[in-house]
Amino acid sequence: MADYKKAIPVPNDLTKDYWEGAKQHRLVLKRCADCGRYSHPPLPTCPRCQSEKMVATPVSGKGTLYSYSVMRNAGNPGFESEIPYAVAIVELTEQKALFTVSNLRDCPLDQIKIGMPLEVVFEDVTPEVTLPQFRPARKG
Amino acid sequence: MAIRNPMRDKSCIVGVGHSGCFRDAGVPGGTLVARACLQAINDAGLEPSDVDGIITSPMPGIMGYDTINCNYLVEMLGLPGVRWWIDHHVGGVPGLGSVCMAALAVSSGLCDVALACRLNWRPKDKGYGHVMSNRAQGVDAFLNPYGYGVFPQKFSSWYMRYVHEFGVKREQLGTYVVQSRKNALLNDKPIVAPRQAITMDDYLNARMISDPMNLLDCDFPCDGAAAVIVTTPERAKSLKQKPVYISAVATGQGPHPDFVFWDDYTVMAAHWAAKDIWERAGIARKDINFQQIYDGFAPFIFYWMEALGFAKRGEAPEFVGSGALKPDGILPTNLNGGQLNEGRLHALGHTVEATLQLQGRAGARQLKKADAAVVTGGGLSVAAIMVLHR
Ligand SMILES: [Zn+2]
Repeated sequence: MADYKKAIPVPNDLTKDYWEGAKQHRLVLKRCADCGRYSHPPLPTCPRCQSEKMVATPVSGKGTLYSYSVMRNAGNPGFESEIPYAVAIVELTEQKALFTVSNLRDCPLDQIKIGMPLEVVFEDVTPEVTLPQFRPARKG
Repeated sequence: MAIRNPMRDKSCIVGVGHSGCFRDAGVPGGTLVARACLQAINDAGLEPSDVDGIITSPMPGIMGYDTINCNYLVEMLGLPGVRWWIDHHVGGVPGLGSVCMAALAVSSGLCDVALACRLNWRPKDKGYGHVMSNRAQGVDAFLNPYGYGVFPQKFSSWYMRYVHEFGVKREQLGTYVVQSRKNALLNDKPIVAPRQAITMDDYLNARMISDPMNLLDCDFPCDGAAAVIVTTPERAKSLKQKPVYISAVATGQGPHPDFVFWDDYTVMAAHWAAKDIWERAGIARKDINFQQIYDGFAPFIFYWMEALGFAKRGEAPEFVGSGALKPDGILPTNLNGGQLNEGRLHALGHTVEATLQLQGRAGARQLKKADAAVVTGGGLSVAAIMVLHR
């Protein structure tokens, strides 16, 4: 999609499971097979036990809003027409301080509240790339 | 484990140089560096041939135009005697990191007269503060596709969390920002901020950059260079200026290389760097007369006050809002106006001001009592601290 102006993630050996998972609409993080700790962004060894057995593991896609900011300045190609837009720091339920970053979907800027429950949604932005995004969690 | 600090008071700052800060200096960056370095050497009463150690922090760029390294300095300044040098990227942002490492080199005998300098250069194309590539690699792949590639944006989320946890009134940070401009009006060097006072209303109505940070919370990118000369107390005896002793230096890193993916947005690398700084310095916190605190973004002031122990966790906004940091308050802060006003020299401008104050050479800004000071650099994912006394 030649008219997609925003930055595109370039997968590497460490991150390809994450981006492959996203294409299949699954949130897939690296988890240590020895001690169970998740690491995101993916690391080659576990920062807790230094194991090399980092296994791609699907997670629930549920979390809460740890923090956020509303962007009112240019600087990111392709986002000019979206200003102001929110960026969320999402704390995933699987582990304390297990953060991921996304925009906030289906949430007016004046209704953003730190601590609000969120859930993942997937956006196919090009034929090759899918971005996980988060929106306020829906009941049920 | 007992605190060890064999460096204590084994090195001192004896000369400072500062090119001034400009939005567009109109000369190459190397010219600014040469001016600052030669001024510092001359200020100390030394000759270039006396310099036997140099340290600076190159950036990706064009040597002599928008960046500088040690090898270039040797030729440009004519330094035949250099036997110790480092091009580095030590934490605490490069300016103060250079002075910390110069103190280490001098106190350990690697050299006797060390020149530490820093160039900041504002790119003149529109690329500054913009994400330049739309192919996001590494950690950026998890940030830039969401329009989260610019430094102030990422720090804004930090500050948002701090505000959420501790309940900050905007006037509390405004008290510092308004005062810092007032301080800058007494700065006799070229500064980047307009030489015009700002009011609390100006602060509260300033344009938001990324909530909750506004334009006046951000420092000024600029063209500028600063330099200091560090030597031994013995050598200082025969030099022109009174020595400013370096009691302790400290550097710190947090738990992660990227501060977006961090454990706690209320605790910076500053907290790691500050852990035992007062014990190492042999100077009590209460004996610090003033401070030059890194203010790349204004909220850094809150984090640093808590890291250094001047305020309890979560209480810095109240402390700062009380006016404690004004020149007539209990802890005068950033008497040159800080980077919010003077311009971004990565804490080397802070170091120059601390030195001038401790030597009694700060002119209209001079504090009545200036015996001991703390200078900090960076804070977020890397941090440095230096405790100085006269
Ligand atoms: Zn592990």
